[in-house]
Amino acid sequence: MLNRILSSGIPLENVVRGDEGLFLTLPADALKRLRPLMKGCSCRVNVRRKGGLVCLRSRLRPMKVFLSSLLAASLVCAFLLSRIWFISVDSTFIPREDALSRLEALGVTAGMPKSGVKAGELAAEILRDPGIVNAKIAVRGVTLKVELSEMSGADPGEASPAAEGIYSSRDCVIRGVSVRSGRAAVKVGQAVKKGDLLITGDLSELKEGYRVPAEGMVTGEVLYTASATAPLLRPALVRSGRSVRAVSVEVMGAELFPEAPFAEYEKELLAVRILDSCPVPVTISEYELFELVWGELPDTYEGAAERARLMAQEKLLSQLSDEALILTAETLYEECVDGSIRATVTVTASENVGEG
Amino acid sequence: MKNERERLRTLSEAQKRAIVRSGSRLDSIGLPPDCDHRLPHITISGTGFLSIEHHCGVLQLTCGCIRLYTSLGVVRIDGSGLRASGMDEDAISVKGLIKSVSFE
Repeated sequence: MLNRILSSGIPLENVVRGDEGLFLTLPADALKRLRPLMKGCSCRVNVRRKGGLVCLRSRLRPMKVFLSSLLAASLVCAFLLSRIWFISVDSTFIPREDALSRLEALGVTAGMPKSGVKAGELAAEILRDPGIVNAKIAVRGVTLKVELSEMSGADPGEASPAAEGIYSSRDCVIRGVSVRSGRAAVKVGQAVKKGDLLITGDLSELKEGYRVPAEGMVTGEVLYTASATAPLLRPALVRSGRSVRAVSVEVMGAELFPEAPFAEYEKELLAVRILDSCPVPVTISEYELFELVWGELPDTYEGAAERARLMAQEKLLSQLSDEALILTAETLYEECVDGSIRATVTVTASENVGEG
Repeated sequence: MKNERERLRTLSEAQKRAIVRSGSRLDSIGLPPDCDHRLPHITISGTGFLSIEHHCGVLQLTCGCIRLYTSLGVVRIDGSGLRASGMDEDAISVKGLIKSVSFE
């Protein structure tokens, strides 16, 4: 029997002789070919166990009721999931019933197929209402979510200019455009002037009359320039020519100096005497006090240039805003006709030129 | 299979020597001897695994002894706990404790 099975091309596995006979494993699809091989054979064949997909299929075939109910349940689920059964309205100013009746007028009802909901067109229809500035429509599972925003603090009959577009606050070169709502009207690298439109809420090219509030942020490179002039004479304290003599007395380390007659002065030590006759050491010092006044002294070219640069920088920093990011800085020096030095500081800074 | 068994049993010694010579001829022209499908190819790994290719049928299969027909005669495998882990019409793999392999 074993040789018959082998010669018919059926591979065997785990062939082992036991007390009850020979146990072997063969493929499930070879079971059908076993019957004709058993004819004329003196041994008995018992199938101990069946396993595998083929046997599972044959076991499920009689379970017609189970299979048909499984198929019916799948069809029902597919039908239910292809439609919208719930409508969720998020709005603080329109009552839910009012919103639902408006949606019903537009053909949106519970039970309609998902393919029949066109979010863009529906939003455009809703935005025809002047009191609504933003409408978001989204399908989540079997729920249609509608979010409506009203115009805040404005007459619903007037259009707020801020919602229509964002404009540039200064002359710059565009560095970056981030649009949250609307459409960008400029590109990176484009030079714009103060008052130019950066982001627009007019989306008429998508649909006639379709408008959304413009929201976003635009950064640009702004050029700042400041210049200052410094003469070759630098301000300094100089002696005026007036002087007085003064005497100071030092006792036990404490110096008693008379009040000086000048606001600014310079003292020069003339003589020091120590009195030994006193029980405590006393030192008498004689000074000459020279009055100092603000005048001018000649300065070097580098010193004058540095003073001019610092003044120009101070002027420029007062023009920059707090969030400006300095990209490049350059200083140019030139000699004026009267001999003074002019420093021109040019800075390129990146900052917000339009935000909404 | 019965005719094949009878035919192998009645092979004369001369015919068996001829089969062996053909294997040697293959070796002389540089081909490995296991290219000859008439010669049985026995592979043993340790004492627990043995495979025989190009057998001609199973003569006896028990836990202590497995005998197979080949073109060179009957191959006898003695041991304990023997079982055929894989078997088809041309090759057989035996697992268990193998004590000896001999030609009868």
